[in-house]
Amino acid sequence: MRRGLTLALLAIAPLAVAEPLRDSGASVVAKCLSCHMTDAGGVDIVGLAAIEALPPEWPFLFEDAFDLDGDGIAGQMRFVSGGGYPLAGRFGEKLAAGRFEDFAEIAAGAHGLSISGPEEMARIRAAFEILSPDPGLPEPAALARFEARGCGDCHVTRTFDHDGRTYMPLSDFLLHDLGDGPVRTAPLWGCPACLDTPGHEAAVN
Amino acid sequence: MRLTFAAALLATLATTATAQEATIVLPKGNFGNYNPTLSAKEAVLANWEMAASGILAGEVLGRQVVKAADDGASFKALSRQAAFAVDTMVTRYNAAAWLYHENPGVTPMDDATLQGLVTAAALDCDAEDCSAEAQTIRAAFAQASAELGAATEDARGEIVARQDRVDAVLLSEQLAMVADYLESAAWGSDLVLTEHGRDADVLADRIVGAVALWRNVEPYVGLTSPEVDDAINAASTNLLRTMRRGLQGVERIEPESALLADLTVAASNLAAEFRRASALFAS
Repeated sequence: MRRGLTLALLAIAPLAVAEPLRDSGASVVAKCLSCHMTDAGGVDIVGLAAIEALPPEWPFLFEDAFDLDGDGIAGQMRFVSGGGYPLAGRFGEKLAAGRFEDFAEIAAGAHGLSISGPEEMARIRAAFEILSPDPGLPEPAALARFEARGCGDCHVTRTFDHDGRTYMPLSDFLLHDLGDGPVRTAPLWGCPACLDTPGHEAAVN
Repeated sequence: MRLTFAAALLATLATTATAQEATIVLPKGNFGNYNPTLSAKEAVLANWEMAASGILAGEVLGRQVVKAADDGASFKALSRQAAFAVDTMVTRYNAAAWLYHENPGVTPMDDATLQGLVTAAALDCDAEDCSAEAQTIRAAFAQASAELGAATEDARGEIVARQDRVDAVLLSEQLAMVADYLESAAWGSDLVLTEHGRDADVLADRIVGAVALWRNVEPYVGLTSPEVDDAINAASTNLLRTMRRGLQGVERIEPESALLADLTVAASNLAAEFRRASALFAS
């Protein structure tokens, strides 16, 4: 079934990349992919399975909501509704969702889309799981330069293991306010070029 | 169709909430119209979760140090890992001090364990054979993580016991708890790590751990009484400002010091406001 879905996704991929489908009669899955697919044929949400496997203690390793350590960096975690029990936010640049399905609902609402029900949601999840690129580990020299610039203070270089593999999200999954309201430290895994790209050092400093 | 969705949801929950799955029953939620805003009950439970998960983080880090020792890590690598772990373990343990204080069923770390942990993490060794020092680190972190693990279980029991309570009861209880804690002498006494020059760290972590509860529950107090909301924000800012100003560069805090007196006044003022907030939701 998964193989069939992969083939179907590959079939619509060129169309999805070529033109946004928001107003067409295509399925919500195709509409999502029309914006989220990259030229490389994957989606722009890297490491979906790994995000879900992020250890629950992860943000606690780095949280310093009041900058008690005096390093000039205050980062705080965000809890979001889990329909009756709070969940630590891990999806979205505002950490607005703890589960993929919740995040998909937020995104759909923001784009004027309506997910018809659980079955469609399951198809969306399957599509993103299949097409989400696997995050590799960064090249050591680039990582050293990245850390030397101080980027590792928030884009932390700590790793975690899951299913026999090692992951380095390059994010503390905390909210930081750099002047435009709190935003999550973007996970830079799967973006080797980002390690050598000047970011927001000026704002941070 | 319902079964399919339930299965998919269960699979999702299994991966996203591993820390919670053992004891806490996560609700399925309603499909559609997801709103990330915490309900009042969720806001209270988030504070419990924050404390319990913080203790858990310490346990996990401790176990990782033990594993590194068992895997034969070099002393330097082990020492580096221990140094990172100990800060988080001590910080998170002290940030959850309100939970330990207000819930006698959650057993605090033994003072000797905590001191042994900090001592072990500071060990140095330039000799060729550092196996004795590595063993000391291993033993100290194993003991600490065992005690933190037991406390995590106990804290989860406290959360489970509250899952069926209604929002107002939970809000009132938590606001009263933090008021009790800030009114007590507990946050400023038994600093335990005095000999390590960490009085200020311990004190700051305990205060911040208690004040941090406010962030999640504030919206519900604000909706009920903007006046109490403002008063808590003012008292909280004053406590944090007093703390920042007073603790800078301080290693040792004497029980009769002016600094502790100032902090006690500020903490008592905040406690009084939390007490008023608690009364808003008391039946």
